[in-house]
Amino acid sequence: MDKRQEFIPPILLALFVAILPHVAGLPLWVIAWCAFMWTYVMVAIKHNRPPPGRFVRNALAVIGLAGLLLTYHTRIDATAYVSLLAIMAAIKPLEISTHRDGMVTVFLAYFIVITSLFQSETLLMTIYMFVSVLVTTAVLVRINDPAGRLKAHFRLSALILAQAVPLMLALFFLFPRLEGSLVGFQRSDFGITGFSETLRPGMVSRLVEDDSVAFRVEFDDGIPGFEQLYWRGVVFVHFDGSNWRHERWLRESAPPETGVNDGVSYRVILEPHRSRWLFALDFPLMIPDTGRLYEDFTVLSRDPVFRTKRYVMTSDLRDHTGKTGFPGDELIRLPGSGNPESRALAARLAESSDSPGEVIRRALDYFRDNDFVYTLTPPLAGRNPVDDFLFSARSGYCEHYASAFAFLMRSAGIPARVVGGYQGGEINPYGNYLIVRQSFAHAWVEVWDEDKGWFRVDPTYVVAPGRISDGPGDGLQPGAFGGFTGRYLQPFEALLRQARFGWDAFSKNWQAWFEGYSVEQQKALLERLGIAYSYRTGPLMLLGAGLSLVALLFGVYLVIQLRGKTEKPDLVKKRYEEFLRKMAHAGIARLPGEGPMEFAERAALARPDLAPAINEITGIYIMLRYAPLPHDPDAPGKLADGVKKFRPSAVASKD
Amino acid sequence: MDTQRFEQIVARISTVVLGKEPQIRLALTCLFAGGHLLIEDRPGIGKTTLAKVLAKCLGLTFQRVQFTSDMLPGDILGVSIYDQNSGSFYFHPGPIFTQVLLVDEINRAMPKTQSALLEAMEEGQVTIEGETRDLIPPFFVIATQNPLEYAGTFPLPESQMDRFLMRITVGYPDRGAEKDIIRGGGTQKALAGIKPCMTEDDVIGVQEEVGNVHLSDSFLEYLQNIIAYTRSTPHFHVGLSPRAGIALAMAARSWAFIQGRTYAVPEDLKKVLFQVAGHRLRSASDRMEIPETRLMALFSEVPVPV
Repeated sequence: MDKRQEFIPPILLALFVAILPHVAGLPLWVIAWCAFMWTYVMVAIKHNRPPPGRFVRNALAVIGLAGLLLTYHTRIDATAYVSLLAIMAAIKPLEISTHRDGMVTVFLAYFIVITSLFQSETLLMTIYMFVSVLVTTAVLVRINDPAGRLKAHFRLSALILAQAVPLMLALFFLFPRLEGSLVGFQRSDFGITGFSETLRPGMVSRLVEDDSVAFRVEFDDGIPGFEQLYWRGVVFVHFDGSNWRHERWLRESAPPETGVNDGVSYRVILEPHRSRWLFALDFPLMIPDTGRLYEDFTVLSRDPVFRTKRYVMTSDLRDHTGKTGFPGDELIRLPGSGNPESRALAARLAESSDSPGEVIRRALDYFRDNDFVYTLTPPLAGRNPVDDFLFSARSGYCEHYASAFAFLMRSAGIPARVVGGYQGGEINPYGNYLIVRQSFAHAWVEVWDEDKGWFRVDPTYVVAPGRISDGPGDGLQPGAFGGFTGRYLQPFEALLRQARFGWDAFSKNWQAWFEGYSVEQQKALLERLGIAYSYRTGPLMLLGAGLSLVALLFGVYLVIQLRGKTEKPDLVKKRYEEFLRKMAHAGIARLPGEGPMEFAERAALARPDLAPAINEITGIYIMLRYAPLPHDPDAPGKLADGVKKFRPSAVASKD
Repeated sequence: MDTQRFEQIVARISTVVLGKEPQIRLALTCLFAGGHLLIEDRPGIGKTTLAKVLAKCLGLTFQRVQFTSDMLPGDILGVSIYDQNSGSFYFHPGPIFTQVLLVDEINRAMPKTQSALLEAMEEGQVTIEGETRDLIPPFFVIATQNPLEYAGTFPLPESQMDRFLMRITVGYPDRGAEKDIIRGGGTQKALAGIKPCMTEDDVIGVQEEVGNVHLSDSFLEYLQNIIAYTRSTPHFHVGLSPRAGIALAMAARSWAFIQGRTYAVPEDLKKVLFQVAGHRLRSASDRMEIPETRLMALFSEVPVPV
């Protein structure tokens, strides 16, 4: 019998379900390739056309690989890998002719399902992957039992899946967690935004309309005021006239000596951003095990954050670090020329002031008194961007203010640097935690003072105080935010906000417990169980323990198998005996020498009201007991159901 | 073959043998199982008619031998005769070289002659003057006999009885059927008009299909319960032999097959139980055969496994 007609449609279904999450990420030609091949296969088996010959199949494989090479060159990342799988999955059905081919292809589908993790690990994706595995397993059952009913196949598949859940959870909690990306591949980079190592004008304002979540924070003792929430990310030190750059070579450092020992403690659930920044409130005191604190008080993770990361931190919320040594000439260095007017302004300020503090105050006054405008769309800057900003345009977003202010400070001989990060947050009333979105991105300035050490100066606050106290939208010039959608969605806005907060709370918990389950959490869990765990040897230990456990279980299984099959309870007998008990209770007892048919006939004559049920049960019973194998896989279930529902009254109902 | 076709065959035979459908079914069951059939009853009941119509209906080559007390084995098997022209012996085959052999009044011949059938019935071959000759399958013996108490009969030895898969009795026709028989004045004309219902290939095919009917463990357990019962309880002189067990299984298979099933159930065995076991069992008290009602009452004690 031709296996193709039986096998291919369900296998195509499994492949289709498995590939679906990747559709947005794969190159268009790969999608078209899959669609074409699968359609062709369906049409071919419908018209009973023979599969293409070996030459055609080989040629297709070569063309597919060549296409991949042209698309990706040697850049082997997650999408390239998934594309390869998709191309192979598309042509594999062309050569399915045996049972073995079918099995191999179904395993390919499982493989593709796993790759969905390259896309995301969100709750939705996890649910979808469950469905995928359910479908694929049902297909696996089906190609091994083509005559059975689809419903039974799905039921068996669901049963297998349910049985796998405990194992899955055990592996989830105990399998060594690895920092970094999954199986060495970098996750595809769509949609991940955030800071880079260079602060260019426009970089922060570009993020303002990005609503996606950067991280979420739970505070142990209430959420502090918004004007205290400066989330430190990256410190920019080098200025080249228009851009600020991060210092790559930093020394590790102890926490700043603020004189405060117990700061605010909080948990951050950080979305993957592919860099190493761990955002911390100014100024971090205690940092997680897998992070390092550097001399500019930024915290970096040991590995780039490719997966959701959960960490606990403690910070001191004061705006200065306390006494530190002179940071070095590096912090007052400026390009040799450019922005002459600004330099002149700084010189004037320095000359007429007695102390650095007064310079700072007067610089801020300059912003306050000269009608500066806080806007997302400043005019394009020329060759001297700081001059243009301070003297002609006088409009810009936070990075312009920070950059200009730091420039003025350095010109006046005061050490200053620009800090990039996030400011503020959005309180989710469901769960009472803080959501920090990309749109909360912010840049501010830190200035060094002999007594206070580094302390924060936020020139944006002077221009648009609402930005700091009420969120990024406040204080912006009209037009900056979409007025159109705002107007039409107003009636639903409250509802939408509620729904959005509800969903966010839900996904936060998911992230906290599932995606954010990392080395630290695993260590904590194991230590609570009394197992010492070190980051270096722990994974090996766990792996070894896991393997021994598997070997032990397998051994036990083998012993049970070798001892001969344990007596399986005869369920058919049990059910039928139950039926006989019920009949006897209703007054019709089977005689020992009576066969099932004879009994059914006699019973049906005595109780015509029960005849249909009696005949149905007897029919299934006889089939299971006397008919040759294979039996209908549903029959035992039907027998159990029938007997369970069979409730004869003691006396026949009188019509 | 399906049940519908089978019913047609039964109906056609019923046009000759009136009012005896159950017996016709049992007879066909026996033949489909590839077994030899013994029809036992008083004279004039229609044994021979039933045997003849069965033989004719199967569409096989057919020979009839009327056994008498002076009959010798050679009269059945054949003899070598000296040909004076060629000066050599040549074999003159007897009536046994056929596919359906109707042996009328088998118990009228001497045991010596009866035994001549043994090898043919069991092995499908005959050995004459030291030379073994095969019979063409399918080979059936349909024999008729009068009950033992009638004068001028030699009872069949037990070994001979065991060779018959089933023994059936015909019994008097009911009043309505008898009226038609009497009005018709005999069955000769109807018998002459009957045409074969099957071909040789049909018969071989049916036998093959019967052999494929499934016997589940539960069924075999019941069958063995029956056999064990005949051996362990004090009602029987001698219990059923393993050969009888095979016979029971084959007959039950055949009955299941004509019911249109591909597997046998205990009820199938019960339907053929008396016909298969009746002539193989004797009462322990008087060494006589046990009547059907009594035997079936005894067997109803054998539990059907659940």
